[in-house]
Amino acid sequence: MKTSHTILTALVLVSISCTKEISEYTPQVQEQHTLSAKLVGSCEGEPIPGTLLVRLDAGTVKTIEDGRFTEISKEVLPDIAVTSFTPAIPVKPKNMEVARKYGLDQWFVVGFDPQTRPETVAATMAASRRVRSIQYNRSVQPVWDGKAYPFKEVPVTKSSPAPQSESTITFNDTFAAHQWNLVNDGTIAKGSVAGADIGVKDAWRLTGGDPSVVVAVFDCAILTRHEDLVNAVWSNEAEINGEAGVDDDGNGFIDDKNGFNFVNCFAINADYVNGALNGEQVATIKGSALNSFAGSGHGTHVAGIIGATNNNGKGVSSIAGGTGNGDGVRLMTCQIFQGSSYCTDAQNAAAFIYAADNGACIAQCSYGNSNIITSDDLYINGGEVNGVNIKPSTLENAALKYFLDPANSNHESLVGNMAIFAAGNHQNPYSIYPGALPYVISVTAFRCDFMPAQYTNYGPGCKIAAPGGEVTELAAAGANADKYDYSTTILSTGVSGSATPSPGIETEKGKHYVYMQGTSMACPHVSGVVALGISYAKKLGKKLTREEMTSLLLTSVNDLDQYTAGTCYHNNMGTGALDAWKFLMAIEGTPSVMAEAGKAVKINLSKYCNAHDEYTIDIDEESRTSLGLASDPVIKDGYLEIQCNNIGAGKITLSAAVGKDTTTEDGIGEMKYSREISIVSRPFATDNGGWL
Amino acid sequence: MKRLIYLISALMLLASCGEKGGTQPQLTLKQKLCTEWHSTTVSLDADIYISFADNGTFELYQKIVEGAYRLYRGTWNLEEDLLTGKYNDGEDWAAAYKVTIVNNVLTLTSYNDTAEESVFEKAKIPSEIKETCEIEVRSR
Repeated sequence: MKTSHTILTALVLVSISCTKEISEYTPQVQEQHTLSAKLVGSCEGEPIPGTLLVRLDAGTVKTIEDGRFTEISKEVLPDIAVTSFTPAIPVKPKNMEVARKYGLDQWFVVGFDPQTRPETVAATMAASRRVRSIQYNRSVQPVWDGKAYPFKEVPVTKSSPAPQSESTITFNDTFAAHQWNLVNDGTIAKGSVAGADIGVKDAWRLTGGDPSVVVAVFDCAILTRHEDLVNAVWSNEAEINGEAGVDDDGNGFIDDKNGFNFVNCFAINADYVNGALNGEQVATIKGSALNSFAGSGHGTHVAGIIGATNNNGKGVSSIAGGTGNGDGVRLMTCQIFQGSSYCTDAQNAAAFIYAADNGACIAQCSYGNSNIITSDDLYINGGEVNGVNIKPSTLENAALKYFLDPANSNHESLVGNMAIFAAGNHQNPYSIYPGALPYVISVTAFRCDFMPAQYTNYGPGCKIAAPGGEVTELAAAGANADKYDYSTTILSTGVSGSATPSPGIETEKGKHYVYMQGTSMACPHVSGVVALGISYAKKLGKKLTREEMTSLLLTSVNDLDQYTAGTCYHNNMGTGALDAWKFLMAIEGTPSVMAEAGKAVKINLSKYCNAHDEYTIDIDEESRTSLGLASDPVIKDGYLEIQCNNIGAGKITLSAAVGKDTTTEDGIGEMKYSREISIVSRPFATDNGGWL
Repeated sequence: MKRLIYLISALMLLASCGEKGGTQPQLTLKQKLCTEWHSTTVSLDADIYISFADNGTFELYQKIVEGAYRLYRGTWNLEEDLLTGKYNDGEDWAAAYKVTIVNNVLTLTSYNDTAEESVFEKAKIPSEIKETCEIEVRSR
C-alpha cells in the first residue's frame, strides 16, 4: 500500500505539474460527508467496475502538487488498493486558467481493484472533507436507429438517369443526384417537396468551406481511408511528421494524427482506424475488435454529410467539402463510441477538452444522455423523475462550457466555439440533453416533404430543424418487390460491414456509401452549415461571437409551421428549417429592405429570416426619427408592417426565444436570439430591393 | 499600290488624331449612357455602380448600409431621354427616369411626383466588386 502510494505520488505530480497557481488551501465546508450528499452524475445503468471520478477541493489539489499525495491518499482512500490516480481531464498548460474556471483541474479518475464494489469505494471517499463530489462513470448513447441501409443505385449516367434531374448537381460527385437533403427538386420520391433541403446549392456560389475550420466529430471513428474522406480528415502535422511513440506536439496524446479514441484511450490515425495494426499494438487494445473502430459507420456517415470531398468525381457531395480545390473543412475524430462500448463521463469530458485544445471550433455531437431529463435544473443539479434518481452531469457540463469558452476560441472568425447536438429519436415532446441546454444547439429532423420525421423529438429544448430523412414504406407489389424505399433517408459515406439490416453497397474497401436516418443525420447538416458560415466569415474578414453566429443561424430558416398546422409539431421543431443561403447572406451583413415613404407598407421578410409574430421589435430613437415612424412597426404573417414618413434609414432589432418549456417555470430553458434589419425609406421602392 | 497604302495610312492617322484632339464626334444620349457609372450623391448610406450595355442590358451593383455588394441584372430602354427598365426577376424598376449627361456626369431624375435625383460619374467598376459580387436572386 505504501509503495503504491509513493509511485502514485510521482505520477500525480507529473500529471498535474501544470497547475502552478492554485490558491492556498482553504478547507471546503461540506455540511454532510455522505455519499448521498456528494454523489453526482447519472446513476442509470451499472457503475463501471474499478473506476470512479472524484472532485477534490482546490486546497487538496494544491497539497497533492506540493508532494503530499501519500498523506492525502491515506486520508481520502483509507484501506483501498488504489491502482491509479490521474487527472480526469488532460488540459494544455495554456488553457489551465479556463479549466480552473470550470473546476476541471479538480477532477481525478481513481482506479482500484475491479473486485471492489464502486459503491464501497465511493462511500469511503465521501467521508473525507477533501472530497467535493463523486461520480460513477456512465455511458452516452448515439442518436439513430442503429441501422445502415444499402445504397443500391448505380452511378448517374446518361443511360441510367438519377432520381433527380442533373440540374440539382453542382459538383461532379457520382451520387450527388441522390442527395435530396442538399438539393431537392421534388422528384426523389412521391410526395417530396421541391426546396425541402438546406439551400446549399446557392451557398456554394459563395464558399465551399475552408481548411481552417476544424469540426470535431464526437462519434465512432471516422474511416480515414474512405475515398471520399481521406483528404478531409484533420491532420495533426506535428504527430504526422514526428516520431512514433512520442508526444511530438506535447498535447498529452501520443501519435494522435487524426484524433483520439476516448473509449479505450489510444490515438486515432490511419493505421488504427483502417485496421492495419501489428500484433503488439492490437494487444494493447483490450478486447476490442479492430473492425469496430469505425463501428457501424455512424461517425463516418456523419462526417461525410459535413465534409466529404466535393468535386472529386467520387461518391457524394457534402455541405462543406470544398469545391474540389482542397478547400473543404477538416474532420477530427473524437471517438466516444466503439462497437457496443460507449464513453464514460470522464472520457466524454476529456473529448471536449481535447477538441478545444487541438483546434476544433465546432463540436458535432449526434449523441445524448438519458431521455427522461426534462429540465436544465435536473440536468445540472440532479433530482428525481418518476422514481428514477437523476444525478447532476457536473463534469460533462463543465467540459462543454470549457469548449464553448471565448478564451478557447479556435478560429479567427469566431469568438468561442459551437456545439451542436441531436434532439433525439424517442418521439418525445422535448429534446434530450445536453442538446436541450440553452447554450448549445439541438437539431430536430424533417423529411423530404418538409414534414417532421416520425421518430424526431420536438418541443422544448429543440432549436432548429434539418433533414434527417425517413424510410418510406412501399405498397406491396409482389413477393419479391421492395418493401421499403431508402432513398428518402440520407445518403453519405459508410464502412464495410455496417450494422444491420445490410452492410451497405459492397464494393472495394473504403468505397462504401449507405443510407441512414435520424436526428443523428440532421445534426451534421447544421454542423456543416455552421462550418460554411465560419468559412464565409473568414473570406469576408469578419469575426462573430458564438451568440451572434447562433442568432444568425436560428433566424436564417424556412417556415416549417405551414406544414404542421394542427399537429403536435406545430411551432415545436425549433425556429424552422435550416437554410445555408440565408445564413451566409446574414453573415454578409445586416439586410436592407426598402420602404416607400409616406405609405403604410408590408415588407416580406421571409427571404431574409423567419418572420413570426412572436418577435419583440426594438427601434432606437435615432432610427425612429430618421424614418419618421408614425407608429411602432409590427410583424404579421411574415410581413413587416411599417409606415415611414421621412426619407431616411434606420435599424430595427427583432428578438425572440426558442426552446423554452412554457408549461412550467423550471423546465427546459430558452435560447434567446435576435436579428437586425436595416430599413431604408425612399420616395419609391422595389420589392426586390434594387435601387432603380 | 504602295502610294495607295501610304495614303490610307495617313488618312487613318488623321482620323485617330481627330478623335483625340479635334472636334468630339456627336454621340447620342444612348451612346453616352452605355458605359460604367458610380454614384456620387451617397444618400442613405448607399454605394451604387451601374453599367449600361448597348445590347439593352444593365448590371447594377449596390451596397446599402453594410454588407457586400449585391448584383442585379436586367434590361433597359431609352425613349428620347426617358429611361425605363426591368430586373431579370421580372420586377419593373420602381420609376422611370429622365436622363441628363453633362461632362461625364449622369443625373437620373425619377419621372414621378418625387423627382428624386441620383447623380453618377463615369467610373470603371472595380474588378474586386465584380469578382466577389453574387447574384441576389437565388436559384430556386
